[in-house]
Amino acid sequence: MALKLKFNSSEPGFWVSGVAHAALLGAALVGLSFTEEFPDAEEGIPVEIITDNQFSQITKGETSAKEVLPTPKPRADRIADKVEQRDPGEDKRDAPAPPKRPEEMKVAEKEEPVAAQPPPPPPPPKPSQAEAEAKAKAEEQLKLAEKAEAEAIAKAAEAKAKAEADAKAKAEAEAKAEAEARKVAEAKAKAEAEAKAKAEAEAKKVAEAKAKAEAEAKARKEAQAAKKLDMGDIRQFLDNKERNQSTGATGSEVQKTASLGTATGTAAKLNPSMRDALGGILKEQMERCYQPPIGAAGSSVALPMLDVRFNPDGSLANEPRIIRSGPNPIDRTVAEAALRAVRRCAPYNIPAKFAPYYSDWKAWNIEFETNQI
Amino acid sequence: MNPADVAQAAPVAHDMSLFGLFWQAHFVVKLVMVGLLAASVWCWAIIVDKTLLYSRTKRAMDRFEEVFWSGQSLEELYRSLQSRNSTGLAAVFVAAMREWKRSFEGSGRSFQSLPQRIDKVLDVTIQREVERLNARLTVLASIGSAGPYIGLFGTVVGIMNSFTSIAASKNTSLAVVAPGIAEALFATAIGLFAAIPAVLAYNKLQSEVGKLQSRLEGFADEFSAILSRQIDERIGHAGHHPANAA
Repeated sequence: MALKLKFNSSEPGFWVSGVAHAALLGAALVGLSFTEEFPDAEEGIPVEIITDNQFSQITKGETSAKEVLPTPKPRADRIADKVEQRDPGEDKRDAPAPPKRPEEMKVAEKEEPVAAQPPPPPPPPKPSQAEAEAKAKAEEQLKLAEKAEAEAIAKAAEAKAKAEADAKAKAEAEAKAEAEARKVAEAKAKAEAEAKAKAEAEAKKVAEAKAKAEAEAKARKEAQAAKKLDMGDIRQFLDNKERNQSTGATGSEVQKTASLGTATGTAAKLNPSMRDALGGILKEQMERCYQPPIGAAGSSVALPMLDVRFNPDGSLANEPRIIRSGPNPIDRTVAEAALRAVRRCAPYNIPAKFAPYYSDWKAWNIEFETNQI
Repeated sequence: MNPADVAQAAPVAHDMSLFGLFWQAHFVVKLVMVGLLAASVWCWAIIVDKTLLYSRTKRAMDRFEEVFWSGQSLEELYRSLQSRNSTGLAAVFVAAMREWKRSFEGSGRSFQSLPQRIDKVLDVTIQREVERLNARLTVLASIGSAGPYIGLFGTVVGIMNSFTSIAASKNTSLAVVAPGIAEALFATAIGLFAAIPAVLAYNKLQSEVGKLQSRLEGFADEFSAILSRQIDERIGHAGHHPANAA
């Protein structure tokens, strides 16, 4: 080794290199001392590959079970309180409506001014009756007064016409009559006003009592709502140290050992070849009843799609519907004709081997192929 | 053992810093790493020295050629260079002139094979000069070619070692396997770190030596041509002093 350990200005290589390496190592020790961790990777999911046939034959049960039982069922610890069975046509899942605030519940931000609310207008039935009566009375009295006046006038006229000599006396009498009539009218009006005031006061009392009762009822209801809210208080949730857990599997009947299968398996599913076979059988039967509408032959027609529901015996469960048809009138007539054909051929002859799969072919969408029909 | 526990325990057991990687490695791997680091230091030392030497040599050649072709008397030039430990073109010139001088010193003048002798001397000097320039370049070549292999050796030993410990602990979780392999690969990384600059520098320096050598040879040819012309003239009218020629 021709390296000299003493510094030599003409051959400074060793020192330059050594210092550079030391610096680099120091930098690397500082800079590369912390390695970044990978983000937590998720564990791989074990995948099992199965065939189409196997998939369509998955029975209801649990994947951890040992064998397929003769009557494949999932495990159930006790009988469910509520058994719900729905037709295949229903929606896949339930979307519950969002919870609603009870109408009577107090709203924190907006305190309803219960007491300050003006009392509701006096209920019409009673007061109106009283008023009407009073009015009618007043009217009657007015009429009477008018009548009296008119009578008096008539009398006066008569008297005038009879004799003008006793004009004074008569005038006096007239005045008297008039005064009397007025007196009577006034008295009557007074009575009327009194009656009216009385009726009004009564009505007011009744209305007030009613309003009070209503307010009380409302307050009671609010108190009840508040109590109810307390039950599910957030604090209660927070204080609850228990883990959330299930009360156990439920079913329509108790089943201690689960069958081998999956939670979603329904087994009575047609496999593709069987599905094709059943489709062919149905189509063949429908074709017999199909009368092509005039004008449909030769032209290219969009294929109609029908929704047909069957009973287990092959009859139609309800009216078939057109799900899809072309936009042209001809397309529509073809779809109608197909519908008629389905209806006309109604009890369909479905082989017994498809009977176990009834839940699968219960609702059947049929696409009519025009070159066949 | 749960893999999650292992993953949690791993950072405690394995310090993944640079120093940690070195310190936890197997003895052989450590040795390889230290050796490769020393090789890297050495190779950079050579690179620095050689680069400086070549640039110095080049400058000296430029200066000498300038002086040589300036019309200065060769005798004078020889006298000024004779005492010094000259290198490069100067060394070639001094060697040829010494041979020339010796042929004319003393009583017996030996012109007969002077051109051949001068050529020989020139060749030998050039060879010596090139050897001096080339010295230690082979180290670079060796480090460049052997560095990755040495690093690989360290890696293989390290991986062997870590697989042995995997077998011993009966756990194949990646958290257990990874630190050992990282340590092992660190050896290859150092090997490449040393080898890549060595290879690049070797090629560059080698081409520079080639350039300097061809320059030396060119000068030697020219100078021997001048000298043989002189010899022929001397043979024609003997008695003249060669110093007056140029």
